[in-house]
Amino acid sequence: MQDQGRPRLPLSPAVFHILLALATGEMHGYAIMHEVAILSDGQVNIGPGTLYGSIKKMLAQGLIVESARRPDPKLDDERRRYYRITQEGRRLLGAEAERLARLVRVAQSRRLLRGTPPALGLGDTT
Amino acid sequence: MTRIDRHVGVYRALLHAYPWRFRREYERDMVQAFRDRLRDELRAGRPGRIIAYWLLILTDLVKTAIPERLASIVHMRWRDVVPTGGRAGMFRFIIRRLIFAIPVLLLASILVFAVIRTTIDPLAGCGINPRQTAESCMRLRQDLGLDRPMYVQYGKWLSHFARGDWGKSLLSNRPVLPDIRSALANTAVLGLVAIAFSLLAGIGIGLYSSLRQYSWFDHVATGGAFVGLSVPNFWFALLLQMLFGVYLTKWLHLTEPIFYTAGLTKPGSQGFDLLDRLRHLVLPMLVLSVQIVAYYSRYIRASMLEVLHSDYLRTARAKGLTERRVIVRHAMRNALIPLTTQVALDVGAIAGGLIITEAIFEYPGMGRFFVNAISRGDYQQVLPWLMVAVTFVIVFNLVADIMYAVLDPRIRYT
Repeated sequence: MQDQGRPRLPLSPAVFHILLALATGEMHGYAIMHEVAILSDGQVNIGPGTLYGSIKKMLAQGLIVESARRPDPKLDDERRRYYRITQEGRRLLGAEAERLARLVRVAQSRRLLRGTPPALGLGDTT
Repeated sequence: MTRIDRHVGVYRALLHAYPWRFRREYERDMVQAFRDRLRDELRAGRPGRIIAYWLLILTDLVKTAIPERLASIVHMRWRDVVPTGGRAGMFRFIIRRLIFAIPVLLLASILVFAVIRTTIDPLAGCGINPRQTAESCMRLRQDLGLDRPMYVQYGKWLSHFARGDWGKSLLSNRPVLPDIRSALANTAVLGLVAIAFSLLAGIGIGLYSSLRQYSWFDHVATGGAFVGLSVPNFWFALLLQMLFGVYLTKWLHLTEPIFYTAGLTKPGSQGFDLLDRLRHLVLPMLVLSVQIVAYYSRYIRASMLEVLHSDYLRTARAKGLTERRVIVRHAMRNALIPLTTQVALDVGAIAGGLIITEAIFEYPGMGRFFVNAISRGDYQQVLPWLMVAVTFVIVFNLVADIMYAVLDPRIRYT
């Protein structure tokens, strides 16, 4: 297995979204794409190349593993591969989410988010 | 259904942008994901969405195929380069590598042609030769085709070369092919003798060093290897020439040196005299060998030490085998594998690599041929020389890869 080094924050958007999708349970490739589109309100669309390029990297880094589960052949193609998030992946996902949350709080405190009143700080002319 | 299949067919073809290892691993899954999403998009029923989807797919492809290609080059391993699928796989692999060699050769020849033709004018001397008039110079230029545009000259040369007509030297008008053939034979003799000698000495020294690690012999061999690697070829050659050509003959009151310092045979000698050839061969061979012996002995020492500490060697000893059998059959066999590759590469490099040594010893091989040709700007000689040298390097690289796969069964697993 090629060593891609230890993953570091910040995670790439694709990796973050894929981990976020997998946090709810095991999924196969297209389900991940679908879930990512839903949880980002359709704003993030990852293509198959990005998806499997990221999966390859994340497998090497130990963020996800291929699940032994195979779907019921009656319901789904049994050759589909399912992926599961690992402890390490979950830990990293949490760390990244906290990092983003901190940034959002900073943005909030500077009154940058919609729905927050404009700031009356230094350098503000209003 | 057929409509989906058409899209899928296009996508499948596009997937060839990815390296084959990536494709082998994920092609099916990617096609599956593509198909699923496409089905959903078609179900939505708006033609614009299909176009948007394809745009997404294409940008995705470009953005990810390039890094994957780069990564596959950076992380290239033996098992990527060497085939795994039995004899048919091996054959396909060889063919593929040979086909890849063609653009390399073409590119190399274009570069060399451009550099030589733009920097050196082989007829520059004609203008200052009092016996030549401006018109005769011009006519000569026309006869040789040097007045035609550069690409025409190159194209003409290439088409002749490919058909086996290697042309004549621009200046001496001698056919190039026989000259290169004899130069190559001379160089092969020198290079192969040097490598054979280096192998014997290098394996012996390296083996003994590894079996008696940190003994005085090991320290001397290590020090000697660093000296050998550090000594410049040309300087060592001059020392040897002085020693054998001047001092030894003087001290020992000889009429001729023990080993000759120049040429292939004695001037004016007829026929083939083995002893005479050997006496001319020894010094250039020694010069070449100093570095190779140093290199090989370090190589063997390192790979033997690695093997000596491995578990299977402990197993071999535990089985009660004699120490001799353990070393020869179990340790050496594996320790020699990396060296085999190195030797194959070195043999390939001989064809173009002995330039300095041959120049100093006036040895009529490929190196001297090249120096003479390029100093005269004779591209008719330089280009075939280059093609031969590059071909050797490529072919022996391939040989090294194949030998590695043959010798090391671990290479074959997927």
